[in-house]
Amino acid sequence: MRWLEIEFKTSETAADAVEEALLQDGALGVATENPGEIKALLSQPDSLTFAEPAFLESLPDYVRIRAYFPEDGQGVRFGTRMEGGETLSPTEAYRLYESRENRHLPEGAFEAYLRTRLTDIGQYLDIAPASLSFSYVKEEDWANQWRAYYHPFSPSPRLLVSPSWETAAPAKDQKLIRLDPGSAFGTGTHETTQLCLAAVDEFMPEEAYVLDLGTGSGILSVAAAKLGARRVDACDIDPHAVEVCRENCQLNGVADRVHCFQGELSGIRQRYDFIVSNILADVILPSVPLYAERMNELGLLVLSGIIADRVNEVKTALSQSGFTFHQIKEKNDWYLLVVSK
Amino acid sequence: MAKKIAGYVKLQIPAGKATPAPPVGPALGQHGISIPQFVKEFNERTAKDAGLVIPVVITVYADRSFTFITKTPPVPVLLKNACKLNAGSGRPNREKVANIPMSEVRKIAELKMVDTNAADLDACCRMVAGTARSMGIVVVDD
Repeated sequence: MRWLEIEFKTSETAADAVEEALLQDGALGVATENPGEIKALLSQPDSLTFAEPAFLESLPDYVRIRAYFPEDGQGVRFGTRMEGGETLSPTEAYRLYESRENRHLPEGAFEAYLRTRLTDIGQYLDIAPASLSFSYVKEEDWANQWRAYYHPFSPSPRLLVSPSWETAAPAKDQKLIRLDPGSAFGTGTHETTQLCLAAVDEFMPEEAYVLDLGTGSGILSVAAAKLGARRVDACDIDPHAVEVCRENCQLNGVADRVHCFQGELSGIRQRYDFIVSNILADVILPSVPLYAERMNELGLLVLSGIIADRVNEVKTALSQSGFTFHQIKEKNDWYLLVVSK
Repeated sequence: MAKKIAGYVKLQIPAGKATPAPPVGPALGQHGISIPQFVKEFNERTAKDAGLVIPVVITVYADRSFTFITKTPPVPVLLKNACKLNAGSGRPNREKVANIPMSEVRKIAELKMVDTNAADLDACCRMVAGTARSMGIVVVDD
């Protein structure tokens, strides 16, 4: 089975109309990349998302729409009903379209038909640059493409993180964390997560009471529980992350020791032996005094998610609040700090 | 966490019935997103609207994790609802299928302003009116 992939480049104004024409003609679905929407997302005041300038510069000044139609040897199938394939001219294709019957079209006729559709839209909306290109995609092209990004890795001497489809054999003293990539931050591939995993391994005392603030996928909580924490409170402001965290704790058999909940630092009343907080400089800075209040006398605080150009600001705030530094580590411009009161 | 954006794509796929077939597979595979994970979550979260084609915006982060949100229906769907149509015209210059008053166009534009980058409401109205005409819907004065 293969699919005809049609790629349109058009303006933001015409994007909805072009998508509609494609869906009406029986596209299985459409995928749209609209740079204007990315910029709008990034400019939202409460956005926890950011982009590198290079990424923003790489965005095109047009909207890219891709639509897919199945092709099965008889021609391109459009619409939902499949019948015998005959050779049709664009005029005949039009007649077929008007009769609302859905059949096969040879590629050439299909292309001509789509070009006419675009020209029609162009009479009413500015569709520039209106380029159209065709290619074929096969299932093999994408089915396992995404898996290529994930392999077992060891972020620290005692931890091994592996997706569930890989057979990973932990060494004698290693703890295995099973984690499939999903819709919460913390797949283990990001520098800040890796730095935190290593810090949990190196600094967390045995039998510790742990707070994982901004838990995301729960990877740090699972690591803490596997490395001997007595109890872990895993907290996130995103309710969806809390669900994912729970699932991952179950998958790893530590659900009895990890308590996942929605909330933030200001709502927490307990004190901890070990706090790990992989968030962002902007979130960490105003909370520095609060962290101190939530730590036991000998407690350790691990802060990560701090980009290089903000690290001095965070260090100054910590010094002013009387924290002592135990470790400062950097990986690809991301910083991790381990401090105590 | 620090969520560095690595990609962004909007899909229009049937609620509750996503499969790894296109457009989901090719659109997400290239970003390293777990396709089964997305399909499972999308279908779970949209089961109540099963059958409707709804726009979903997926944001991909640098560590290959992702989030998705469902968006307001696209302008053509709002137009079809307003005109009680199943489909627009395939030959908008010759075959007209409905009339829509400018006041309705304005209403749709107001609804759409939240997730469009149109400079102002007038620009958004022009976009909605143009989209209507491209579907064979005639825009008439009230």
